[in-house]
Amino acid sequence: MYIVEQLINGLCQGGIYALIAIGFTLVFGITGLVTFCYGEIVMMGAYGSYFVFQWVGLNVPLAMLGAFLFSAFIGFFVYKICYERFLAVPHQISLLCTIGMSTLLTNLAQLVFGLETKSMPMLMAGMNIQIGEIRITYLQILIIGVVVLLCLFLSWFLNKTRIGAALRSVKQDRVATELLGIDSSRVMMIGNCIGSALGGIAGILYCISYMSISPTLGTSVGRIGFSAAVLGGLVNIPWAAAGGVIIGILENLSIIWIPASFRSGIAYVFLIIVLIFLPQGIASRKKRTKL
Amino acid sequence: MKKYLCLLICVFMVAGLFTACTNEEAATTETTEASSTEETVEEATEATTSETELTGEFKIGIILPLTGSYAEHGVGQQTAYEMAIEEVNASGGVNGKTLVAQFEDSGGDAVVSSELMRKYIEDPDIMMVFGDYDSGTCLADAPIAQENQMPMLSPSASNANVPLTGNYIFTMVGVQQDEQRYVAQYAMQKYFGAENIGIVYLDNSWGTTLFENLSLGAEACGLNMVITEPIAAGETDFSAVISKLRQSDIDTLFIGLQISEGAAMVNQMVQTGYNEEVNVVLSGALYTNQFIELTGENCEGLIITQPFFVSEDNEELYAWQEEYYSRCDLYPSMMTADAYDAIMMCAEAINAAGAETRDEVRDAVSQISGYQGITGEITFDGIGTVHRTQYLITIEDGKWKMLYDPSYASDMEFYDFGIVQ
Repeated sequence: MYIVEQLINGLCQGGIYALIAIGFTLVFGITGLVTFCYGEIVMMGAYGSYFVFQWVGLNVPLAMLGAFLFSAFIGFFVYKICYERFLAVPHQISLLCTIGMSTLLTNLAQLVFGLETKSMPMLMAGMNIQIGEIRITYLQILIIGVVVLLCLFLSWFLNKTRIGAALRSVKQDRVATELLGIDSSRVMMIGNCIGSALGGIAGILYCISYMSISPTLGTSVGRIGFSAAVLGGLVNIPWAAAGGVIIGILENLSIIWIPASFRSGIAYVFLIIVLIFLPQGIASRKKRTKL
Repeated sequence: MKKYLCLLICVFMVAGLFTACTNEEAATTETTEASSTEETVEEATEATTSETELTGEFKIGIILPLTGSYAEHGVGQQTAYEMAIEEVNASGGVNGKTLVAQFEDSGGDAVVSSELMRKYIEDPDIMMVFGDYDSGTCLADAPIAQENQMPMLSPSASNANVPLTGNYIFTMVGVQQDEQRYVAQYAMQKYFGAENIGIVYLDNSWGTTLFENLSLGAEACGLNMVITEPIAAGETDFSAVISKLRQSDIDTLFIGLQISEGAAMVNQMVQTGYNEEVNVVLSGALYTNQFIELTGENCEGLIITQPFFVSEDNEELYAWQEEYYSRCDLYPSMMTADAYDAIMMCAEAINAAGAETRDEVRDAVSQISGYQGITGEITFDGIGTVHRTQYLITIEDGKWKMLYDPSYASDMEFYDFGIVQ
């Protein structure tokens, strides 16, 4: 029963990681450029929700909207500064630019929001479902529910809407898309904003789950998101999500056998193993590219 | 659009420059603050110079974390140091000279701290160094100070290996051997009636030492250590750890974490309802306002041990606390009150001995015995540290409240190092 409880903990944590990995994959899939400031966008989104909580009280949907919009806003400027001008030049330039942007966003957060860890509101304290010896908190159910809903929405958005079709088109062939009269730069910007906004939602889920927020949380979150996305070769959304869930579950199950202080290394062990055995991600083994 | 973009980039760059330089700026600020402190001290002293005719300067160096995760403690210590220096100068200074302190910010970084120690050693006018705040940085500083025969006194390092470095090194907050013995025997066993305990501790130098000493204390009084779990610094997710603790079926849990990790764990214990299944004792490092702010109602009723507590019944100490609070908007802890006592008792000892060199200062400080400070009686033992008694404290209505004074552990045996430096 204990293992089942840890599995549920891992599923909840993995759900948040999955959302981060999906956003990361969306950004890379659309722009074709690796970002190293995605964790900081997640952090900024979390701060967006923190201030909504401060101003309007314990309103979770509004806080999620705040996180969504604020991180999309940050994603817009990241696109303008780090991507738009460097689409036709070697990718290393935009990659370096995102590394610099990562430091800038962290420092900006430290300046504006303060260096110290802040407390996030506690939702549904002590409320849980007991099934035998297994205990599942309402918050865990909420988080898993939000992640599943967002994944379904994203799937619908990408496959059933005109913008989604444009995003997939740009991913497949940017030049051909432009020949069809579609402004690929604009579409890429939209894709980047949506990917960033998903990160913002992940940010609020992460922070309400652990009830704390700090300007430096983006570093670890970004690395985990990247590690998870690597499973999908940075382009395959379902496998990126699976990567996030697998890391979350492994982190929580590992504590049964190893000290808790070592579990933060799980994501990196996962990353190394995937890079050794599946350097192009699982998607490449199936000889198809899926957004 | 290009103009806006350029403007935005400029804003980001300027913001980045500001913050990227935080440490340097902080260090500079501290130097500036130190200067302003010196000016303040000098101004305060000038007012009394006409009466006491202070001539010359008696310089000391102070290392403390004014930035980083220990910043709250560092700011508190700086305030306490300044209050003591003002008092010393107002009452005649040191050896008829103005006591002047140079403050430097280590950021809690052992490398920075040891560099600052070297800097002070190279200044022939610095007679003694106070600091750093935590055991990790002090363990880096102590060998350097000892090798160069610079008297060093940390008001807050609790690792006994710091004073064990040599006869120029002193600590005064008490040693973890004593504190953790009290935690095991009196907070856990006597107060809670604990039998099966769990220990969660930070996986660093401070946390590991704390864990080792608590293990010794628990073993000495027959407690059954069912589960021990090291936590990485900066950890935010405690759900897996709480599940693991729950299945271990312990009756009392010791949380040996620093503020951010400790607050996150306490909050998540309430979130999962685990707080209702186990008694909790906190590490002394969580005795801060910030911990109460971060945990809100979730910390109500938790237990902590401290060798220092300000009661409203003690009017003189209460007035001191109010003065302290008015200066830095914080309430004093043992770590900060010790900084005040450190200056006051050393000034008294140096004055009594007429010490003018580093060696003479060391000799004078090592002779301190029976000094009555705001943190209690201070007597250096053979290795250059102080054995402290503890208060048992809880949190009630968002405030620290004393449950028992040190008489609760009147039969406690202090740790005997069996060594005389």
